[in-house]
Amino acid sequence: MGFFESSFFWFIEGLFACLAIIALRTWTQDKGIRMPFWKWPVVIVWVLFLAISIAYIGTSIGEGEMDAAFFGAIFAAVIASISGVVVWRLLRMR
Amino acid sequence: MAAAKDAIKNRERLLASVILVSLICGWVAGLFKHHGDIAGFLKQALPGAVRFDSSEDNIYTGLIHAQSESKKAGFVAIRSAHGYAGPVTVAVGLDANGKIVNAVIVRHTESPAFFRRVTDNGFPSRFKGKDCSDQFEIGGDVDSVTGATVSLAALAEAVRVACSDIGTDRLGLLPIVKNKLAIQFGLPEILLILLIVTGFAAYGKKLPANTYMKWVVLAASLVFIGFVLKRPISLININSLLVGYWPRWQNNVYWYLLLAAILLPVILRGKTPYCSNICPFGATQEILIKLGGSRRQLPEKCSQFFKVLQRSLAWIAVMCALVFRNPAIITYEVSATFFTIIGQKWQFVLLALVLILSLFIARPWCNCLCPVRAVSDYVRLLRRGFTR
Repeated sequence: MGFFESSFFWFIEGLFACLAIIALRTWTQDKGIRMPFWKWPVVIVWVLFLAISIAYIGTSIGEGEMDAAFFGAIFAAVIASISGVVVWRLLRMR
Repeated sequence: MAAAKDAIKNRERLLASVILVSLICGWVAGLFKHHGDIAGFLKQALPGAVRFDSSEDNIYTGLIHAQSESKKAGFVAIRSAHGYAGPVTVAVGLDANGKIVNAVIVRHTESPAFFRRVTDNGFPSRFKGKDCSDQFEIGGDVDSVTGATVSLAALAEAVRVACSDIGTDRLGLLPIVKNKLAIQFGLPEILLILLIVTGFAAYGKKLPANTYMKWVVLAASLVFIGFVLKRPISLININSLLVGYWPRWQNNVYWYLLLAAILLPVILRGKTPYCSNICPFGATQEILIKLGGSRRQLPEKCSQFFKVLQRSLAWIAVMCALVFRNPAIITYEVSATFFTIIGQKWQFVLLALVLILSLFIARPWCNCLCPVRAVSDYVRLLRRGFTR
């Protein structure tokens, strides 16, 4: 079993996810951004979209489907940028 | 200060004159464009023939023996019909029973990415075996192709005319009566007129009612002209007009309305509300800048550079269209790519850049690259020269 299929890899993944959430919380507190409950799912959905997009592009390249990777990257970049700006403006909302 | 302004104006006038002369030269040069030999197409359209006899009506008789004229393999007619960016010309070979042996595209001026949809779907080979008395109607006896309806309709119409001409002139069949001159005026045209009228009414003073109306028109234009009809104005339309590929107005009221909406106001009043109030891609950029929450303009130097780039690219595209008699020879617009999701890879990259930049800068496409804007600016400059 390789490293990326092992339980240890997923343990580290979980660790980084926890660190990222704590970092986001600390950062928002430093910036004075209020984080009510509804903002958390918005951020998580956006991060998940980004992760899935990167996974899709990586998998497509791995499978030799360069056209799919190219169009996936283009669509993901546009959607992630637009939704990212919207999420950022939502985060800054008081 | 006044002297400097006069110097700039004089320079602009000189440049406008040079451009006008260059465009006239390009148009004249295009008259001498040689369209190439058609012998190869005749052979492809009717492979069984070894020799072709031509006649005044441009119908070729294919003969089986080189010396004898008694045995005919069939007939070939070369006919054209107007597509999105000019004529689509086909060579259609018919056997003695009036069945299509083969149909070959002789030349076309459609956008390559769109026309590839037609050829990728097996056209014009799919016309093989059809009878010359068929109707060749898209959605009827000819399957439609999503995203290339106008190009396929032109191809089918050219094949139909070729079949009809051979059928009536050589095979003694009754002419196929098809009411093609009936004026096509339906929902798209009515919607376009409504949008133009409302867009023009909302243009001018910045009253709250005008701003509200402008947003309604932009949203409606984005939905109807952009996503439903997928027919925003493009440089190809203007090039077609300049090259002289004017489609029959009876079937193309929409085409003429759209061109009139942008060109007539510039010629008559020196400004057009189309770009700010009606353009569906402009609407996309307006929505994105609202989402982005900023309305920054480019720095002055940057803006000047892109103005020069915008106008130079537009001039090159128009010149090439005139010289090569091909309105779609250079297309770099991203609006069609956005609404149809059809285009070259670099157009998708450019589109993505424009959409992302639209979140932070006011109308980057309109201000930096849009060739239609460059053309309307040039017409405005010429108008100023004439009125002076």
